Amino acid sequence: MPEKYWWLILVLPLLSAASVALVLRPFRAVSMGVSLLSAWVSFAVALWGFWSQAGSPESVRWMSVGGLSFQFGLVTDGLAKVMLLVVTGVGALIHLFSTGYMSEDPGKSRFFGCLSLFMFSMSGVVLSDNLAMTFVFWELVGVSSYLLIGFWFEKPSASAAANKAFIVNRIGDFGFMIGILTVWSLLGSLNYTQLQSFANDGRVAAVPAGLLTVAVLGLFCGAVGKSAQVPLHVWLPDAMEGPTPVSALIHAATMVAAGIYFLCRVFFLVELSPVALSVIAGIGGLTAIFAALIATQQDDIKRVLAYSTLSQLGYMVLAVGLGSPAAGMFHLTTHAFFKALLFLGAGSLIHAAHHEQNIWKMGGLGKKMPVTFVTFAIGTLALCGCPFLSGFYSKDAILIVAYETNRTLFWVALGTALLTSFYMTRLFVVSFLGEPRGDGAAHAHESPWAMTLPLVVLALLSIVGGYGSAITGALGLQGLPHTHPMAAVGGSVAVFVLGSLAGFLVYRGAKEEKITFKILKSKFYVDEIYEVCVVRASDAIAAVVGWMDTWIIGGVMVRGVALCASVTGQVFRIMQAGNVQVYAFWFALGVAVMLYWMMGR
Amino acid sequence: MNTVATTLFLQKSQEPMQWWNLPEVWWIFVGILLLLLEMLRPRRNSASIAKASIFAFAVMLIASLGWPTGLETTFFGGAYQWDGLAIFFKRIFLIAGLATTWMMRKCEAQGIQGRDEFYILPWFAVAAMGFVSSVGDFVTGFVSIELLTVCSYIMVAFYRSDRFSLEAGAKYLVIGALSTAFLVFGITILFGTGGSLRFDQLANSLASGHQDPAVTMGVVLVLVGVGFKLAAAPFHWWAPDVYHGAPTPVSAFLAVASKAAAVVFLLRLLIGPFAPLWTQCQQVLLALAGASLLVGNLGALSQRDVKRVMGYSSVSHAGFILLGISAGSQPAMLSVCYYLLAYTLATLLVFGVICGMIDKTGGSLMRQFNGLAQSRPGVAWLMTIGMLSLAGIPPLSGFFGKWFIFASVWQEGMYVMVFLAGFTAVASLFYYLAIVRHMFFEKPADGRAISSGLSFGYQLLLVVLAVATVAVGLVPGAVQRAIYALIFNL
Repeated sequence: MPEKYWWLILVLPLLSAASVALVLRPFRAVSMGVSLLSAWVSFAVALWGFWSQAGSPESVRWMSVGGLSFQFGLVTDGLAKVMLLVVTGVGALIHLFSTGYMSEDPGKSRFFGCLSLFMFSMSGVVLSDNLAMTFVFWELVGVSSYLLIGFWFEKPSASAAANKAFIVNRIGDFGFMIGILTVWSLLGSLNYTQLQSFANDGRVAAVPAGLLTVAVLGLFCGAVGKSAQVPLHVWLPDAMEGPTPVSALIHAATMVAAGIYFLCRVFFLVELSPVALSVIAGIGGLTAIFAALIATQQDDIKRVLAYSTLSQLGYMVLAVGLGSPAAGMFHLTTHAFFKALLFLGAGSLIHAAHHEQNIWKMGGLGKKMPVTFVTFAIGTLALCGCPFLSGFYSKDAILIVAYETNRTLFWVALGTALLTSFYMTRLFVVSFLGEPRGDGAAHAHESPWAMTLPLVVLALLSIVGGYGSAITGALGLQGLPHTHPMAAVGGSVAVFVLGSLAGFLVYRGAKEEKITFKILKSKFYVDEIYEVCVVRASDAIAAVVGWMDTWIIGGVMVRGVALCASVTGQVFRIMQAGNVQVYAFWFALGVAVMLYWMMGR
Repeated sequence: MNTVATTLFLQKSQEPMQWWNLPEVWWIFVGILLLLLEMLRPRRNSASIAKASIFAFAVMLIASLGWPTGLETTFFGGAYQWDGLAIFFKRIFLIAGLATTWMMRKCEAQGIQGRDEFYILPWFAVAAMGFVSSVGDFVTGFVSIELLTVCSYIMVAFYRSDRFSLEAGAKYLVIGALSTAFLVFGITILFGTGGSLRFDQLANSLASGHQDPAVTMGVVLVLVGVGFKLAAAPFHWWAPDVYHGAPTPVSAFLAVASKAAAVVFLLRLLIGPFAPLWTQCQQVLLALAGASLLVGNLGALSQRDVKRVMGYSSVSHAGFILLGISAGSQPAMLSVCYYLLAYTLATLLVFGVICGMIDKTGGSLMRQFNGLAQSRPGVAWLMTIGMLSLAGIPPLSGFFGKWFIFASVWQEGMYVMVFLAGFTAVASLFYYLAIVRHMFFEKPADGRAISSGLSFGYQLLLVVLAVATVAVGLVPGAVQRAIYALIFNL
């Protein structure tokens, strides 16, 4: 029964995480080995599953609510297979990279344990065959991300970032839950296959359009949180406080892409609601251009890449919103390769430059770190959409779709591409070329093979990832464009050339920032605005609670003092419990309100 | 000896149950036995009583596995009902009693002068709650609830030399007396209009006269009494103060056992005499649920003391439970039972950790938990499991509890309530995570070690509770089916 092997992808990382957490933690090398092994074997199983024709294993009965029983089952269609390859493949490479990057860290065991937990949860998101299971794994992914962002918890900024990520995601997940419940009450099922059949036989179309829109937008809320779309994007840049391999794996290649994967998974529902589709496209386009603008003015190498990730995720969401999940998934796959490459390259730089992340204190690293230099260059070119690299094809697919369906969003997407070329060239020129501008950069040297090998492999994938129909063909999704309008393709090449040229000319030999836009540097003040709102709200709550406290304690104090003047200390002691009268008053008032409410009407 | 064993471990195959082998009779017997032991014992040290009490709880919990489950029968002229619902709650009470007594032992080991009643009172309280779970008329109900309340008064004020404990006892007493007055007033009105105190007869007579405003008044007043025990807003005022001041094991007992007793009393009322008055009851319950969710979750946000946070958290969980009950369907009732089980395990775990850590920190302020993850990572993780389960993070049992309740409420079409509950659940994350943050991300204030070692037995208790919290969440379906079989499939 080869189908059963699919379970290995879930079981192995879970076993690894559990054994590290419970037994192996004191043995750092063993923990690392176990985790590494589980990641590579999972990848092997995923590869086997991709080429074999193994179907889904039998599902297991899981739980039942209100007469509805949930199965614990796996979905193994083309979409899941491709995503699984990305997750386990990039995951395995990043495990290898981490053995080098984290070799000195005292918390190595904990790191690899959490990484295995993440691999388990992420594979679960990909393989879940119903919304309830997806939600559970979705939350587990959030938990492991929380643990990994806060990995260096001695840094206050790291723990703050972990909390922020978790809480912002919960806001999205709240909408997600509402969406799931709406789907359930409308259609009576949460199983993807079943829902798909409802969509095919017109049962979904029979649902009132407004309610369907609510359901889809609710589900989209989950994606907005996890894929960090505007307005819930604030957590992702802060999440860069985590170790760099984590940023590469979770916050660039896989977890943040889960939102897009999920939208593709339920696309048969999404496409039935035109309102939801235009909202999704709008949010995607907005995020793309918004994040690209901010990225042009950041100085921290990881933050530039983080905003770039946001922008590219916006691109993918845009593709889904324009009715082409295939283009979105295509870009997701290639993006996973080159963005993981860029992050790992950045990790290699940071590692070499003694944890210096400011690009203005790097410089001249190209000569000292040839492998990192070349591979990072390939990643940059792929992201910028240089012709004949993977990013060019997937980005083009989205641009063509936009060109054919919505001209406004096409211009937004093209503008984003221009900015992308600009800021990536800036990043590359400033950090690799010129003279070293900091002590760390001056004494840098190439990283060990465990770190450079994944770079080379990912660089190869970033080159060839766009060719052939291996990815797009296997997906089995609709919406890949078949025409190649000159305007879209030509525009894409033109903005690549223009953007890179501009970036190169402006920043060649630069020792400091040449152009300053305060509003972009301050990220449009979104964090500040949120902070004001949250502070205001919590102030208001505190004021109400405080008012009650004052009322109660104030009443006690007044009477306590009055009595204290006349009677003994013993009485005063009893009066300390005096606010009980006030409690009794509130209690009785509550009863009176209840009675009035029930009887007075 | 053989007969004792057979009466204690009731066997399904045996003849009909007799009143003398009802569990409560045994529990009271154990309580009296412990009292006698205390009198006759040679040395003045309560260790032997404590051990005997814990041991007896363990034996009774094991014995409860042998209770006849497929049986529905009544005793004492209908005043006592034996069915699956009663069994479920009696087991919860035993778990709570066992854990609480264990924590009390820990408190005493910390140098607080223990007195033997500390270990004996839970027996009478548990017996009282056992009667509540089987209640079949208002007299039994009232007397059992009062027995429970009187035991609680004594336990809350148990540290007679401690100002906070005494103050908490006084508050609990006054507000408790007030609520008792409302309860008994309501019962009187219902007796006057319905002509009986038996639940089944009352149900019949109220079915015909439910338009009478006097009946509505009686129902509201009785629900007020239940709301007090449940710590539901706006009758929750005592909860944060009392949880804060009472000895930690007693806070745990109030949060878990006392609340569960109120839940089962409410369920008995709703399936019994109040069944014809469902629409009125539902409105009251929804109002209480909404108020509790808001007050509990928002009130906890500004608290800096872990036990006070748990007080408000207890109010908010009362809200979730009431929300589930107000859905009124069979799945909703199942969800409530599951929720209560998850809540019981996680709350006992959290209070267990507080009780274990409090000796060296000398208080329960959040910042006194600073850096616990470095000095005692195991304990910090146990606390985290408890907190995350209470916050409803999957795959812990607390998540599925909320999920089931949301789903069953949603199914009844009460969307607004799900939104409200979901919103407050998100807000609750802030204060649960605040404690986790203090443990993991803050440095200890003065660099001293937080606690000396916990005994192996106590660690075992905490680990078992944590494992149960996780396990109930890992196999929600199986647990739910077990509860279903117990309660409905007779």
